[in-house]
Amino acid sequence: MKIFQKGFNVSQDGPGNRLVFHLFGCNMRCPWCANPEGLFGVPVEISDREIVRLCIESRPLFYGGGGATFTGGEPTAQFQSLQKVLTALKKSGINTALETNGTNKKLPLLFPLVDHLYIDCKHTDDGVHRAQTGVSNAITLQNIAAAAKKHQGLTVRIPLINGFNTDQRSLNDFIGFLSPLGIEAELLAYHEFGKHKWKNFGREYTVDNGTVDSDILTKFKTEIHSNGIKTVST
Amino acid sequence: MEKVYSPAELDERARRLFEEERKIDNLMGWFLSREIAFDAAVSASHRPPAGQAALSLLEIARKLPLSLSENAVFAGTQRDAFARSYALINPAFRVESFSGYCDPTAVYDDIAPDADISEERIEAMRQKTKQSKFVRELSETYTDCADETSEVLYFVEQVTGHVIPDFRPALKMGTKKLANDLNERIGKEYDPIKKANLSSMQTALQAAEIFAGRYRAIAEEQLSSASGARKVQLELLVRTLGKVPANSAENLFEAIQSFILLWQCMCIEQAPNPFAFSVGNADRIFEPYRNGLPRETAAGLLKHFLAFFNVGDRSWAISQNVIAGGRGTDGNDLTSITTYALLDAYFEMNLPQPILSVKLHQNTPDELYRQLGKFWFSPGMLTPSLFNDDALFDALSRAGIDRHDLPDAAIAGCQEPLIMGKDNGNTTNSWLNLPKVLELTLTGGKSLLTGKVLNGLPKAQLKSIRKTFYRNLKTVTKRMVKAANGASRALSNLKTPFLSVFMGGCNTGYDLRDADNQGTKYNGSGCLIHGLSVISDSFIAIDELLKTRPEDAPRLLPALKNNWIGYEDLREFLKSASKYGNGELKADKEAAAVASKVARLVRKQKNYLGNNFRPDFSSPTTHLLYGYWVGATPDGRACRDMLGYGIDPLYGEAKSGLGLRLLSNFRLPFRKFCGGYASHLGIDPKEFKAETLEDKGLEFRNKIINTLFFNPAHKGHTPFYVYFNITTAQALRKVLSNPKEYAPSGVYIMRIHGTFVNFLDLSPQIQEDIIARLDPASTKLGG
Repeated sequence: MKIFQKGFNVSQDGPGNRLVFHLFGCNMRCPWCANPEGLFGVPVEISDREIVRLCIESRPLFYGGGGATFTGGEPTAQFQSLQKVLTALKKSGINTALETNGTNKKLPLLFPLVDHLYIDCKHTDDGVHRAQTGVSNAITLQNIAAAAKKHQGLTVRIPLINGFNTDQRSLNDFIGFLSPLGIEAELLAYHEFGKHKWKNFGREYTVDNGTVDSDILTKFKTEIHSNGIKTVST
Repeated sequence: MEKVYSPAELDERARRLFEEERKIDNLMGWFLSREIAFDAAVSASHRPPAGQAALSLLEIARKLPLSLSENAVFAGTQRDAFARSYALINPAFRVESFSGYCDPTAVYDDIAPDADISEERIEAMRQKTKQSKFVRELSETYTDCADETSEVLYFVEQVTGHVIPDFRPALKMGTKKLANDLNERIGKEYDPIKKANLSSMQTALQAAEIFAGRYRAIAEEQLSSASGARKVQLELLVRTLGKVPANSAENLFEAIQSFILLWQCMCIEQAPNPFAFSVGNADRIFEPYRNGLPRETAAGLLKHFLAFFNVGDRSWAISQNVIAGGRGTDGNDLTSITTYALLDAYFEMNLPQPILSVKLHQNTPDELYRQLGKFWFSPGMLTPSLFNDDALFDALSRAGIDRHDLPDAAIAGCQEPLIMGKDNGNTTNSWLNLPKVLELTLTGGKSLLTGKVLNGLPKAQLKSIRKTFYRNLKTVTKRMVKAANGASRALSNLKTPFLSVFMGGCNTGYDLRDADNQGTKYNGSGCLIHGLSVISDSFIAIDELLKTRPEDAPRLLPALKNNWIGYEDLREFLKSASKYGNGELKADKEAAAVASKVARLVRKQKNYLGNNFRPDFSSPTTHLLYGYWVGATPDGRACRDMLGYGIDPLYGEAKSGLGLRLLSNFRLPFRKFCGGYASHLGIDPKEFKAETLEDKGLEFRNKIINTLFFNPAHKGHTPFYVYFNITTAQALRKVLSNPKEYAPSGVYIMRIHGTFVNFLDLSPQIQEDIIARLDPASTKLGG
């Protein structure tokens, strides 16, 4: 497995204290990406066996319902390794979490191996989605719908970026898509913690004025909630 | 007992006693005891050395001025065995002042002449000491290794103190019975040397009874004018001193009194400065005598026991360790009411000495962790060293300790595991500076600091750095061992018949320090190994240099010589190489390999009795002192910067939080560290959310102790030692900037290595060391 970072985190990448592996590589090119090292950096190769070993050794540290989380980059870009590792961890009784952009067709194969599944839903309009991320949202939406039926631990994450998906139409579309599914959603307001990293890689950070107004954030929360979609925050 | 002393009165008296002691800033007793001993030895010069030593001790017991404070509950002091010498608690201490030479006459600089003791008298004793066989032989040893020790390639010292006597037979049977048993043994012994040794031990035992008699006389005199409660208290003391230590102790008061007098004799026998004698498993020693005494009263008496260990204005009797808790051979828990009474005494007094260590194991009760929570989460409170008894049993068993002796493992000094009453480990005999060996390997024996050729070691090609390093290390180690054994042999001129009674000498017939015949059941010599993380990180950095920027390899040595000035790019590159402590496989495996190879090399060495040296990866502030004598190193470390502490990553290099640091830690071969090791974690108290201090203790167990000590993924080879400072740099800086507000008592206890210190007593350099080594990026629990 190629990773660009690993470390412990509490509650933000799944419940409890978790050992979080950031997998290298992504099929999207979101201009607001907070982890550009997953695209432009130098990955470290770590064997699947070593990852499993680290997780097993860390078991006493997984308090509060913690475990191992795989994020990125896009973790399903290394699907085979990911599946192998998750299988071993499940067998060892270690709690697992996956944070994914949902674009991999084979994602449902991982449903039985993941306790907490976080799928990003950036935009329901395929054209807008493709224009900003470089990739269609079709499979993502399919995977969200499938997970809503088959997975008990799904959270849909909506990164809110001003000028991209914070208008009323986008809100209506999110509600229209998610409301029938009976899932929980998390709204993630735009931030710029990763902005300086782009510069370090000699790349231009093109998002201008991405910050979401607090009124807009409140509106999103209120309307989503009032349409029967449970919202959470980590 | 409650009729004589209420817990409140015991508490008040103990505090006043401690305050009284802290006002004493000129320690003369050791000097007087040396004068008396010298004169006595001259009178007894026709006797063998052990006999002279025994008679000297008796003369000291007879003639040393004694006193009994109005605040005293027990009689006795160890004040007369110590000088105001220990550098690290001297606020004027500077790292660069370390001389690399352990001059036994330097102590004469630590006494100020006064009306009674003139400068001429002090000088006369210094000269007599210099002429002694011990000092002459020691000087020869040091002269022989002067070049190498001048920049601390290694260091050696004659080890005084640093054992754990077993006073239990004396408490149980009395010294009279022990002397009678010795007499019988002497009668049956044919070997004249053993006969003479045993006879000396029998003679030396009387010293404790002499002290008891003299203190009794003082108490009787005070009694003649006492009234009320004090009269009753003095009556108790007079009765007790008339009984112990000559006869069996039958209650806790008698047991503590007996212990104190035996300890007093033991220390005076080796005055000045027998640091790091340790009590052993104190709760198990005293529990049989508690006889139902309530915890509160027992704690009150134990407060006086603890106060006894504090000497002078800065508690100069450093590194004396008291241990509690632990398990038996079958994994059964051995905590008792006395365990908790002892913890209460420690908590309520919060004294700079003696050190508290607690043994934990899989079956340690929740209540013990709840009590420990109070220590961990009260700012400025002492915190115990923690030992994993399960892992310790394993490591010591592998080192050859018999199964039935394992529960008697206790800690001498800061963290050295020894068997109570049976083990002369010579724990601090030798000190090895691995990064200095690396430096000389890179330069062909020439110091980067001074250009001086310290040792004709062959220079390495970078591509074979490991091979040449280990070969050179073997050469240096052999030189160090020769010097260390020389120091031990020199010390063997100073016999210890009193201590030998409590270290198995009655069985073996030999003195503890005998250099030709083993006087204790177990014997070894310690080697404190410095710079593990600097070496392993340097090897990794060199590998990376050769792999990724081979064209820059020729720049490395000039860069080191220049302390990176003009080579900042190279330094940046080398610093970015994988570092131990971040859960990175390559770096962690390298650290494990270095530890394993060096431990094996040291373990193979033989001491003066043909026993193995004991690898001990600890650095009691010497990571500062020795780092000062090392130039820049290939891991990117600057010239004269500190080395890593014990087995810990070099501060600042482990940035990935506690979880990954612990995962790195697990790779080390703890089973091979039979001499011990040092490890410290600075933890932010805000990481723990439980409401009460006690519940935080359980939370601490769940989050930290279970992972470190009782990790099922590492059953059988887990770490066995750690200590914590649970605070932040910000908190400590507040204490320094406003001590009146944050430490109103003038005492704010921190740990340096295995010993407590008053943070406010330390030199600025040591204060900064403690702050730096909190190393928060390496101990953060979550993101």
